[in-house]
Amino acid sequence: MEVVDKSRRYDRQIRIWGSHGQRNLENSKVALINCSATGSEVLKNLVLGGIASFCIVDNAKVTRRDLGNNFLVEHSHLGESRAKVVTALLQELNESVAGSYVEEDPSTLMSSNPAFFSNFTLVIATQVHELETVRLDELCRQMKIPLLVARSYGLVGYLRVSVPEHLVIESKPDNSVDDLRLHSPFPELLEFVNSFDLINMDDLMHQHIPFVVLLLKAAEKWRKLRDGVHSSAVPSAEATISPVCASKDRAMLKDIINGMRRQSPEGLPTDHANFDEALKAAFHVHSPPVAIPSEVQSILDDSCATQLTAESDDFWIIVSALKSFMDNEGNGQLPLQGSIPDMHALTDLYLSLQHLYRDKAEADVSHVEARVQALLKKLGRDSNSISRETVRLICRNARNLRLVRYRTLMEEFGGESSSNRGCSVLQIALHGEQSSLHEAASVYVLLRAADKFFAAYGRYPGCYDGQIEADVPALKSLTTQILNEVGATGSSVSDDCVVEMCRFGAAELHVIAAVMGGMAAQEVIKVITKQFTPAPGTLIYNGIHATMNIFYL
Amino acid sequence: KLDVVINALDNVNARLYVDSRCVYFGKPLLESGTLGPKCNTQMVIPNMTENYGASRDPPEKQAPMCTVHSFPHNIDHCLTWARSEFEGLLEKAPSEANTYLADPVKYLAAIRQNPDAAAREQLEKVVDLLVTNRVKSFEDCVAWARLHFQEYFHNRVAQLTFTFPEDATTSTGTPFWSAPKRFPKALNYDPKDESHASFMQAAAILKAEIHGIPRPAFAESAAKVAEQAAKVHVDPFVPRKGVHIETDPKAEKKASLPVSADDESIIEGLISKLESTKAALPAGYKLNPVQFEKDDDTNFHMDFISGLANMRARNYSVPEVDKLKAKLIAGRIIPAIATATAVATGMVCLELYKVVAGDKKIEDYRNTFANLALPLFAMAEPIAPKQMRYKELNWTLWDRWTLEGDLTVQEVLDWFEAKGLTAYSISCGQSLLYNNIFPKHKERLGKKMSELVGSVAKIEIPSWRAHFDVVVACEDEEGEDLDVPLISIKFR
Repeated sequence: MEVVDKSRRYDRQIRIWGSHGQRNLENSKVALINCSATGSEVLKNLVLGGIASFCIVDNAKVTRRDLGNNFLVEHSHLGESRAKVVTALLQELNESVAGSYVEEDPSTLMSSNPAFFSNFTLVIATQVHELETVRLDELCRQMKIPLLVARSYGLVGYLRVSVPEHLVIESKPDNSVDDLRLHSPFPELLEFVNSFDLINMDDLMHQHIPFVVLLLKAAEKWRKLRDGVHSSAVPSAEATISPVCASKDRAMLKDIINGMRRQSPEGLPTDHANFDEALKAAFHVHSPPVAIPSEVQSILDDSCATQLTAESDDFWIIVSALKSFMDNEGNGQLPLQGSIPDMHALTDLYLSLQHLYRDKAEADVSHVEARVQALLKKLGRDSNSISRETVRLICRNARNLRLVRYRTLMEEFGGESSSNRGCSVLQIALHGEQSSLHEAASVYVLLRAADKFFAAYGRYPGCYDGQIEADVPALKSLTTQILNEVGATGSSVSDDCVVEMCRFGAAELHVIAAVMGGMAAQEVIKVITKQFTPAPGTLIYNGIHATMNIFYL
Repeated sequence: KLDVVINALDNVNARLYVDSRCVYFGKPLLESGTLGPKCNTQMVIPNMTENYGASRDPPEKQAPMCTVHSFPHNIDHCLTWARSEFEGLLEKAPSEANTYLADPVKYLAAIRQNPDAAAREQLEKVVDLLVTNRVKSFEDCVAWARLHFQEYFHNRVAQLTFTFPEDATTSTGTPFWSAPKRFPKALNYDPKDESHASFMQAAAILKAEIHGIPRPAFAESAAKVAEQAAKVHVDPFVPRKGVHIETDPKAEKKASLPVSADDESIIEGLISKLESTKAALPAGYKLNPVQFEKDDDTNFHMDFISGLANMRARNYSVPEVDKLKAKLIAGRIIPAIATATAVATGMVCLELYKVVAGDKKIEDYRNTFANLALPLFAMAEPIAPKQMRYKELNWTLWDRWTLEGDLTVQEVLDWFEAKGLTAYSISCGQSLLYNNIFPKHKERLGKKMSELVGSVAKIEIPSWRAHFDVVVACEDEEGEDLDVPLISIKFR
């Protein structure tokens, strides 16, 4: 009954990440540091999503400030433990999520009981000073636990995932091109194509030949004409075409396709839909999609795949198997996806074609699976420890595999040398012409200056009324200091921005917390479900100009 | 009395309605929506931006009826069909029978008054439920399920392929069964097939529910119901000639059939059947129509629908779907997640501050489109309303033209005439006050507009109101229709 109940409750999100994604969520234990507005918002979204459990680390008491920006505290809670009341109200949202809290200063907890964090699938730090996040990041990396840092500050926000390596099998791109192998047909497909005699078939058949067949026939002629090669009548499976193709070559292919049309009794070319489809798909032949997308190529070439050990992740073993498949049976191609789009064709022809692609895809899976088993054996592991299901999932999604590696927060905030990758990203943004990018980089620098201000004065700039103007020069000089640190000497952050930052007084506004909480929770879900690609860098949200930028820091 | 309206609606029609009211009253509207990981927000500010209705997404695509009925080529078609069969069989027909049972005399009198083909079809359903195929035991329900299986997945398909054999051609000589049409195969009942068995179980249980027949213990097992069903006698299929099957994709619904002499005599025959068996029905006999409820997993509704859809998918070699996917399509469930909603909420509230602060320019506002999956965020200034121009006149959808005085229809026409426009129609609410194509309306030219609002539109203007609004349709000098603002007549 419980299972049925859950699939109903989470029905609308299972549509997005599937029941396997939901299962991952339901097995995840999440720790949250600080449950002010931003943290409460993140957790609210995850509790609604159905994580297994959460634990809040926060030693604050509920103050009037919380009443103004946090829905998960009530007036009667003033003076009570914030972690306790937020935990109680969050649990009301979803009784199948277990909630607990630790009323302790997060920074003290990191020193006194670092092992505490090893209990979790993922740690979320909100409204935490940069020095503390650096410590936490080190701790989480040691324990191999992903960390997410989110912060709302006045009308701006900061968001960053930190994990050494995140692999995505189901990146679910918005638009994908059908994998039909029209530029390099496999032998079974060619055999199918060659079984048709376009010249001698009757009109009815001619109008209902799948466009795949028409296009491959045309491609054969086209290739001969273009290359001036007269030898083999059958194009070889290895024959691939250079991706660069002149417009006259493209026109030639279209002419060939149109030339294959039959004429109506009035002597006009007929306009049957299968030919139109062939024309539309002609780009598959003359400008084929790159056989291996660059993101996938870099995964194949990654040292994790080329230097396997007995401890290697299953993913890397499969990637390694993919690579050797491509070097051998695959003829340089990734495994076939195996599905085909709807097309104008006689039903039985369509079905034969569908089987052809599906069988080929399954054959590819078998080849990869055999190679996976061989690799496992070589590594001294159980050769059946990776299921065909898993191999198939990776084969089907081979073109969309993604790998994101995040630098440590120490590397992001360290900034000792200007050769640093993060520094150059900021330099470009700050020197650049694009105003929204300049603004975003300014916000980033100012957030760090505010933390420096805190380190120096024990409070954030502008947090007391009447001191806003007095704090401006101090923040400005700290800003210049950071600009120098990141090697952006000479560039500047506008005075308006500095004043605005002081005016924020480190206030946490609920609207910004809602936006940051929504995004942060979605990033957490991506990391936990391993679906969709998380933002690959530091995300800066500017609520004043309504812009969002990602910096690879 | 409101300062601002914030929408949190789940469908386009409701949004359009609120939008139209906000435009009418000149109120700011903060509109938002989510679809899976995507969300968007749109600010509608009076006299500054375009309204929500100004830019619309294309309406949802619906498959033509003939595709759904005879030529499905994807699972959506099969599910649309299954959903409509569910409604007809389990909800509409029993309701119709109940209307008869509640007051047979009145019901039959109504049928006799209008004895057309539609009435005949309705009556046939009632006779089928109460006389010809009235079920009395759960075994009858199983037989009913089995015979429906035969009819749906064997006989109808066999008839279709008899009428249009695989090599049939159309009038232009092309093969009838060409893409996207798929040549179907009839299914033969197999109690060992899990999908067949689960359909039998769901169908028998729902049928029993309609007729108030208790569910025996063996009904809990799909396999046992399936075995029972295998014992049901099924007549071999004999194809009929001259059957009409709709093949025109443009035929939206069943065209209303003309009344034929046949219908009347058939109806009389059906009525006498009903009358003669009336006594056999238990006193107070009533059916329980089934209302589709997708979210109760124990009610067999989705089992019935996904069973119907998947069997049909098998007929047409369309890939089948699981119950969850079936529910998504049949229930028109839009994927939704808390994260996208939270972001939309934040974005809207941020704009709300701007509305409340007042004195803002269009470039201060932002519409958002975000996709958290990528993640992608695109924010842009709202679009200004379309400026309409005619001669020296300038207006947008936010404007209203106010005419002073207790004017006659002629005076209103003259007012337009003076601007170089020909007003040809004036309406108020749902009522037409004046249109120059009706000769009779000439008499109204001298009448006061305020009087017509009362006498024709039957709208009583409260004593505290000094104006009423009318919609005027007019043409410019070239005879082109022009969208003009609402006309407000300040008559006192």
